[in-house]
Amino acid sequence: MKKLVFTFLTMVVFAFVANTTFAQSVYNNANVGATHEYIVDGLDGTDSWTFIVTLSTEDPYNGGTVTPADGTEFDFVNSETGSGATSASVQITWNTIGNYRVWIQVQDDAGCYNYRFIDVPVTDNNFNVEIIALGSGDENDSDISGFTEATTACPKFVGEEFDDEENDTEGNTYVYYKVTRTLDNASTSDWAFTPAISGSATVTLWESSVDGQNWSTVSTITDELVVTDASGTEDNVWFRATATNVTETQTDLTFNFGTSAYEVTGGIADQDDSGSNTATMTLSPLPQIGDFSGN
Amino acid sequence: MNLVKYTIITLLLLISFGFSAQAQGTALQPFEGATHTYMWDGLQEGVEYEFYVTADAGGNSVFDDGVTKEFDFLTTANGTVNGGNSAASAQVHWNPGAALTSYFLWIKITGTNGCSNYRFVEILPHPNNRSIGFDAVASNECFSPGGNGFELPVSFLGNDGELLAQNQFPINVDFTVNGTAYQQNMQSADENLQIESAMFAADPAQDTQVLVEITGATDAHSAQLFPGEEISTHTRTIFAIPVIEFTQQLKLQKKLNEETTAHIMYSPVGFDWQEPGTDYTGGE
Repeated sequence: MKKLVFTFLTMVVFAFVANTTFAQSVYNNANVGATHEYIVDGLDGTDSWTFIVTLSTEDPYNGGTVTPADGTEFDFVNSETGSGATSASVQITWNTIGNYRVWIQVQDDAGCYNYRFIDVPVTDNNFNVEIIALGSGDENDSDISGFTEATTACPKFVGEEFDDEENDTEGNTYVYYKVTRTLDNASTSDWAFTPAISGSATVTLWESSVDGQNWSTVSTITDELVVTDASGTEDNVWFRATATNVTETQTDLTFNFGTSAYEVTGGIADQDDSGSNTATMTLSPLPQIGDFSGN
Repeated sequence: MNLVKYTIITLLLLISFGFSAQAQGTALQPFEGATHTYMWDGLQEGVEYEFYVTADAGGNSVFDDGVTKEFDFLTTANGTVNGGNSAASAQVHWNPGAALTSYFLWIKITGTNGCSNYRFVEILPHPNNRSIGFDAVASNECFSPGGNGFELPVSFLGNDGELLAQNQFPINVDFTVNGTAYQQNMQSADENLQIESAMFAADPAQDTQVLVEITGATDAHSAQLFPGEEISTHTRTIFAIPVIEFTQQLKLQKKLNEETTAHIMYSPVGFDWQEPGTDYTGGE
């Protein structure tokens, strides 16, 4: 029997991040959403192999059930079979919480099999990004960090002119959203997401803020936005949309980042296991006022 | 060049003052003591309205009508638009002391969905030193058997001492004629106060003094015009019919001609009617 030496190395692979390090998920204690590479060396170059994933209670060598299935609880990112090399490897993305075992079944050129495994508990990645709508506002809102969720609101007044002797107008209104990242460990990690905007309200300006007080223009809201988190405390980012022509009829504005959020440093995707990745703000119409007359 | 510049500036100032003068007495530039109605239309039935007055265009410093003495809401300041109406209105009385301060009258409209909308107008009350008086303090006329009513020209003066603008009419003038009170609605400054014969009794046998006194005047917005000092009374003297005695020739003629009539006596031959106030010198 050949002596197989498991050296499980892990590498998180995402299309958008390369050569990252492991902030949280590791190969033998993986998080949901993480992808790790499992490598076995010490093969003689003529062996063929197959990687198998089972629950930790199963032993396929002794007739145990080979579960779960690829494509459900986990995904083989590349082929789980191979041959003709002294080192075998496979990348696995973990989809579901559970206690798993990663096996390698090696068959030599004589047709004999040998097995090795490593237990891989997979836990919630605890990386979550969610969004809530915070209602509407105006220039008097100097600090919206304490605002709570509101999905329906009346338009407020930005750039309004109520003087009936002038060209009176209700102006625009602000619509607020808060995107929150949660991460159990205290590691510092930039995080990112890509919004998609829809709805009947017309937005003339998007701004973002990391404190709910100071705003920076977002030139293209549908571009990926990376939240730099040097201190490990940047868990929120607020958005302010300047919506126009929203006073006469009911309008809505949806901010949706779908499954685009991920932890830049750890490379873990948002599994949408808490909260929502989309928020819709509905703006009720204002009562209309006609002309003034005095006598 | 300087002449042109000064001419332009002068014209601009005149135009400016002209607009200002015309604006006085309107809802947005009321006189102290005036009551005006403020209204917004285009409202949906069922919306709630609220009128309030602030000290600034930002709407932050709301005056308490119950405490502020400078104005009063004469009608309910809030309510619901219903009954097929599409407008909301409020009457505001501007009290003495309100002048030369800007007030901002707001309307807040709240829809059935709870959303509110706002409008305001800026109001600059003016002091009210307008006055009314007679152009002349005395006149006279001979007694007329057909009636002794007369007209009196009246001057209406604005704060600046100039004649009142037409937009401040009509004006109700309260006056007395020999102590009896009357009122006349005057539509313009061109009208005269009409003193009818029935307002006083004139005695043809003796001079009659008719004292007309303006006791007050109010415009269409209940703001007063004050009787001017020394020009609020007018004395009209209606001279008695002169006593005429016949000459000897006329007496003789009368005796001979029983058909001599009073008309002849009042149209004497050989006499000239004397003007009132002059001594008769035609002889006896």
